[in-house]
Amino acid sequence: MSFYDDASLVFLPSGGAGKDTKAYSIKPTNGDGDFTFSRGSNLTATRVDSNGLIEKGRENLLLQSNQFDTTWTTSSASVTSGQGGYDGSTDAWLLEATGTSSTRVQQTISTDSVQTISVYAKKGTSDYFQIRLTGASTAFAFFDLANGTLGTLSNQVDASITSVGSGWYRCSLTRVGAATSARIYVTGNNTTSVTSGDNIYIQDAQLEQGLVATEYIESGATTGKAGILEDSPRFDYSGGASCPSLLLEPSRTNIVPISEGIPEDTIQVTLTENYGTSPEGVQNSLKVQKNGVSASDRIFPIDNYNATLVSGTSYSVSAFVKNIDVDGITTIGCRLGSGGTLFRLGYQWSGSSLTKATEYSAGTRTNEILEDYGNRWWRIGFSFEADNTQGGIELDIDRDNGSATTSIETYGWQLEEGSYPTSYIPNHSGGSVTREAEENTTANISSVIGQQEGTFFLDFEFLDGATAENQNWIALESEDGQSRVLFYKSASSNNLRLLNSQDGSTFFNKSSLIAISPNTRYKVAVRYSSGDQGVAVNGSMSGNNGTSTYTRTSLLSRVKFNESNIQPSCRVHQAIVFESGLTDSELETLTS
Amino acid sequence: MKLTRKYEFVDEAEANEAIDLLRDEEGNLTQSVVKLGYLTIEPPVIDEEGNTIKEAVVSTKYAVDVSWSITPLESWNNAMVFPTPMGIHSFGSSSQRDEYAKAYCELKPDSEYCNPPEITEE
Repeated sequence: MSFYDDASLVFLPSGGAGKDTKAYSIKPTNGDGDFTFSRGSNLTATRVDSNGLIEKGRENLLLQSNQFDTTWTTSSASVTSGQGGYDGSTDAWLLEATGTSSTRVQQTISTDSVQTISVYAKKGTSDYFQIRLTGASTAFAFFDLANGTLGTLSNQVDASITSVGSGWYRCSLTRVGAATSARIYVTGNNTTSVTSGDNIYIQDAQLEQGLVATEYIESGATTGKAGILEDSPRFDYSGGASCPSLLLEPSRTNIVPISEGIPEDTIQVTLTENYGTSPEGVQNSLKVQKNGVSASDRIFPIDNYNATLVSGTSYSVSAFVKNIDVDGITTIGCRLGSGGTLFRLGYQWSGSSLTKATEYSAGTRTNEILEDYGNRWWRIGFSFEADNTQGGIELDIDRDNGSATTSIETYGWQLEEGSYPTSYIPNHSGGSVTREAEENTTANISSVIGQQEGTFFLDFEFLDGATAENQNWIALESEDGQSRVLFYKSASSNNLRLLNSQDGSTFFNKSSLIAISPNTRYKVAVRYSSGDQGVAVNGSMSGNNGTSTYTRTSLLSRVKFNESNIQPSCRVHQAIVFESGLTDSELETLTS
Repeated sequence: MKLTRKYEFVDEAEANEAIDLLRDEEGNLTQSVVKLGYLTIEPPVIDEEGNTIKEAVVSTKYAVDVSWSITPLESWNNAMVFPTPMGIHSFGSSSQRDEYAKAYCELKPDSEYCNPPEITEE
């Protein structure tokens, strides 16, 4: 038999088919079996894309990003559309001084913390222009468009000018702090002095959170968005997978106020922002060089005791690191407040390779991670139980060689409440941010779900095997939840369980299908036919079959990945529904 | 669209009483709730040897944020607070962030956040 031909609903995330709010099933082909997906977070959810790079949600916070006569206002300047652009279009604008000072186009904004503004520019009669973000601490950068070099800078974290050909440059300015307006000035030279009639060409302005200008997103009356949107299903290629799985994670909060590039504090290190290419594939890693003072030359993504913790609660700390020239041990640690414990784990560098070390490790740790993110990047970290209400994060560059002046690159610091680390949650806000839990549910599709007989197959892996949490309640169920074909893990054990009920009465259940291990793939299938039930796990029938009979009045009507509002924590590879009950042999084949 | 709203309670027990109103018949939460706890108002001062020179100043109120997918419960209103929308916890949604900032400025139109000072040209 062909399982695909016989199935009435087939959900294969390996196809990566979906869009904002939707994860498509490949069967039924009319779209009735498509899932409605929701999360509600567009700037904190990430996935690993098909290139092995971390993909974020991105947003151009400017309105009318290439319509400089709308929303934008001018001061002693004019803007004229229809100019030849960097992209071969005629979408560029001429920005020309009509006065001798403050000659600019500007837009009122309201941003906070780490932000980068960028614009494409080309010299006109003037060689220079300036980008300025005003606020309590105004930052600006002058750019020399004749020579492609930076001019005078002030209050910036970073600035850059990059040639894109034909005399055009993409120019950017990065700053930290609240900003109230974004301004582009035509200037006569490396100061604000200008002559009426001086002009330059500009195109495609962008303001975004983060340390670096990313690919341009057009905006109009609303901000422009790209990447992982608020309700985008995450088809994830973590671990070098050739096919994606649907990543479903519980709500988590990254407590690190700025998770890239700007640690809260340092001891005896020299920092270089936007040094190299991060796991995101853009140039926003932080180089940290020891000053060679002691083994404790370090950065604090969260300064000593600045994080508010709950004693007795589990937390997970993680960071991305890449070696430059360390020949020793990098450590990641959480130092808890007065009387609290130092939790720390060491990692031994051997060139670009990294292994866990026993030296310098401290405190009781669980779920230690060492994940290869490619391009010599590693994600490191662990989980621990807090024994104090205050804590911080420290990353020691090389505890083996105190007097060395060696360096690493780092990126993506995270401290989250939870007994295991979840996917990276970027944060540029200066506060903490929460990635909300994910939901994935079909509409009412009772017509393609067998009621008196049928089969439900799942191919998935748990992200956690914790015993104290309800996890991954995935079900075929009725709208009122009274009829269920439910795979689940309860808070009382780490066993995968099965529950079949109709109209509130259980007729076939298994409380111990298999002991769950995290990041391990399980294939389970249940035949729930009246008078004939059976379940297979990973190619073998599990325990005794059932013979209960029932008449279903509360119809199974949907597939739901967060049954009973239990937040999912898994990767889904396949979910298949059959309107008929497969035989034991077929169940074993299907789950092999 | 979901709404972010912020709340302060006397203690965790009082917060839990309110949170229990958001549970379904099986005891599971129906809204996204983040218990921020007793927030640090002023961080501690630590010297280079790691000694605490000055203890942190911690709020006496227990903070909770909710991302509402329904109209916020009226019973929560007494605990609602509106801290300035800078450097605070948020749910990772730009639309929720903007809505919160708008609500803040409707409630506090004279605040500095809603009336940024004019920038004088240098």
